[in-house]
Amino acid sequence: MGESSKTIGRLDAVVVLERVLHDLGRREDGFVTAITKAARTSAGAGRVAQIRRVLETEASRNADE
Amino acid sequence: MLTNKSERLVRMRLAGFRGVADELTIGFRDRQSMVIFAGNGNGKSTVADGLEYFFTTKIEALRRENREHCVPHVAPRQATAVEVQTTGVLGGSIGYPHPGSSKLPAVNSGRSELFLLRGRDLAEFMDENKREKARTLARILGFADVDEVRSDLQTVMHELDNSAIAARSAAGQSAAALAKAGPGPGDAAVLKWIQARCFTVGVEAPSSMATVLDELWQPVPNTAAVANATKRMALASQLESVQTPALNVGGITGWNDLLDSETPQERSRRALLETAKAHLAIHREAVCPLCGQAVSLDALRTQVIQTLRELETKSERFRDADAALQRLIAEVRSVDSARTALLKSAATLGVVLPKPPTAPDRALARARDEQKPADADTITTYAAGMRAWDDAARAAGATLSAQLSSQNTSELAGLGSVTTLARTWHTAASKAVAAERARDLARAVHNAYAAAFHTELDAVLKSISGRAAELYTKLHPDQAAVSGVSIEVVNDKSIELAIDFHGTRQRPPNGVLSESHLASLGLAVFMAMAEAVNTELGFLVLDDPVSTFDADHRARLADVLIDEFGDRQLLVLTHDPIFYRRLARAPRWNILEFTSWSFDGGPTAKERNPDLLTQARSALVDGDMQGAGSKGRRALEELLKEICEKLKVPVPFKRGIDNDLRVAEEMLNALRGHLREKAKHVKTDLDPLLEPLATEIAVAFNAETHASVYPVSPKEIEAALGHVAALNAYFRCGDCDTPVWQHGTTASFRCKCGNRGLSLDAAPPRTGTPA
Repeated sequence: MGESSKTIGRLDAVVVLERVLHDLGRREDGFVTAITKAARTSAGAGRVAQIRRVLETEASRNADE
Repeated sequence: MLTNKSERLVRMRLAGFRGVADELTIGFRDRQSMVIFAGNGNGKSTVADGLEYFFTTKIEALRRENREHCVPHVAPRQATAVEVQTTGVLGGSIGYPHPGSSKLPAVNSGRSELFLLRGRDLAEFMDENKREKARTLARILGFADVDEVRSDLQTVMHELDNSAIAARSAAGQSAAALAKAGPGPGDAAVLKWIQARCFTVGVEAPSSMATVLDELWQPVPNTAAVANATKRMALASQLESVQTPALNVGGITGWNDLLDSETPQERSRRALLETAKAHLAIHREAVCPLCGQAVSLDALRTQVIQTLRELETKSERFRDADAALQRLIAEVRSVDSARTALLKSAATLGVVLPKPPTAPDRALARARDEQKPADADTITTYAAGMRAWDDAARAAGATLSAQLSSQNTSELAGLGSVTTLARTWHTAASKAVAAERARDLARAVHNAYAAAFHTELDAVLKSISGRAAELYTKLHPDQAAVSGVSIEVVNDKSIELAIDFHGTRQRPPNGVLSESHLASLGLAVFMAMAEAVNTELGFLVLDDPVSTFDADHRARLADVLIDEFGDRQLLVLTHDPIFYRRLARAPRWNILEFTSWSFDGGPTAKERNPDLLTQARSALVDGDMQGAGSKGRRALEELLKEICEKLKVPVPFKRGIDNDLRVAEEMLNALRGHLREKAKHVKTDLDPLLEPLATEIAVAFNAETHASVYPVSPKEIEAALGHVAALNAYFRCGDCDTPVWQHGTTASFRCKCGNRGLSLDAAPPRTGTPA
């Protein structure tokens, strides 16, 4: 979990997501930017749709590569 | 979010707010801690409310009761405002109602527990069940936000899973139709079949699958007859290879079981909220029935809907049942749309098929939206109707196939049909692969996120548990039978406090700990949590935290606050005189008393000098002999009380509050007797102070009584105050300014820095001597 202990308890959902993506081997790229931007929006159906769109786009991009 | 742990309160001003009609200003001298002493109803909680409102834009206790309209004073003489000045950037001003879009304090987290602990909330927390505790802790620790994102990722994962299933089903259907028409699925098999057929019919064969998939490539002459035959042949293959899916009725039974298992409380709460929602939808104006002030219906409506939503969606079981029902709905839609497409193609080509059964997807979706039971028979009936339709479709396909064969349709039509089916299959298979890739990516991100969440949760709870155990032990140093204090995760949605009690694990500890010990435990947990979580604020507010504590524990809590939270600014609000006096004796603390409250004027605040000896000396300088004497006596009483407590000097028991309020004389005599018996070396040291003090208690510190007979001179009072100061100095370290009993027991005391020691058993080396 890297530096999580420094801010232990004071969790930020987006920071956790960034860290998870980093652990999955994703550095700062379009996908990380897009999904963290989606996660930053207010909770609700809109956020789900945004996250879904980002994941589909990224999966499609990976397939093309 | 700004982070500046050293940010402290400098000044706060309340105007037209809660119990303050006009205004009240509180200054924190040297940015140090403060204790505010006030009787019940004198306005101390208004101070806590002010800070809560400023930093979170709400007062949780009012919000819970839908009484946020009570934030302003009932008849304010000034515009409602809370102004806070801090040592950093978090200060500012907030009015009522607070404009949502205006600049708000940087710590607008909505989590007052970060910096504010109220005694009443503590009691409520200890009485909460596992799930409620988990929710409370999740809210405080910020886990609720994290869990919401996790939940959204889970929803996306389920949705993409449903899409992948539907796409794979469609691809399977296309592959079956292709196999029926000739070649099996797979690029190589399809290409080989088409190349062979091209050779047979004498047209140029495609060199690769890419050519086959290219819509511009036409292997057959574009005549109406061939085109029609091609389409009919493709339709025949599709109809003959229709695969009837097994629709799982478990998605409905699981959903219905979940709704059946709702507790009566949940059901009645939901019913009540539904009624409130309906009521609010009709009414446009309302006043509070208790105070007659206008109520914001919009705010109330939002809250009711939010609470309903929380009630319905927080449960993990709900999510699982919901996902299963969603999957069933997606399957039904996929099945229905495939049949509808076939029906449409067949109609275009003049092939008559029966109408497919009506899909129950809308009814199921409605049941899901309204969270009502779904009729399992609808899916059983639909599945039976679909089987019958599929049989009819396969029969129609076989008939069509036979007709095409008997018509001796050219090889060209077969080639065109396979090409069409190959393209359909390829598109469907690509969609399935894309959907599965997206689902796998969503699953990887969700699983990693969920694992990170649990790892973080475990780490935080472990850290807080360790600190809470430490604080609890300090509050109950003699209670060796209780250990292993921890916050444990029971399951994904439940958290419980646990202790080792006389060798047995107790989770929760409510059955074995007294109310006051439970309060201690809760206090230790919250203090540990605030310490761990609060990275923005350098202060902590405690509002009446000791209501269930006895005198010993009140004193210990005061010591723990002074010793363990010295790096923070504390604001303690209390009506307890013992707790108050103990804190007031701490070095550098500010002292404020709210002596009374009035409707128009609010609290009457009086700042007190923290040191009674200083107060006595000031009175002496002012020529107030009686004031100097009485304050000197109070200073001596406080000091003797602390000495007797720490040295475990036995004093006769008194019933009730009298046991806490001792007079100096009896404590002095008890101390001298105790030292004579247990620690002659200390008595030898202190006799030059204790002997004159025994007389001074009756004379210099009793100036009022003696005024008419033997007037007390300033010199006598000054000497007496000097003896009190020297007695105090004997038990304090000159280097770190902490009492000599900071660490250890009567067998071996040590101050905080360790330079000053004291033992009642023997004369240890000392650096300090009585003045």
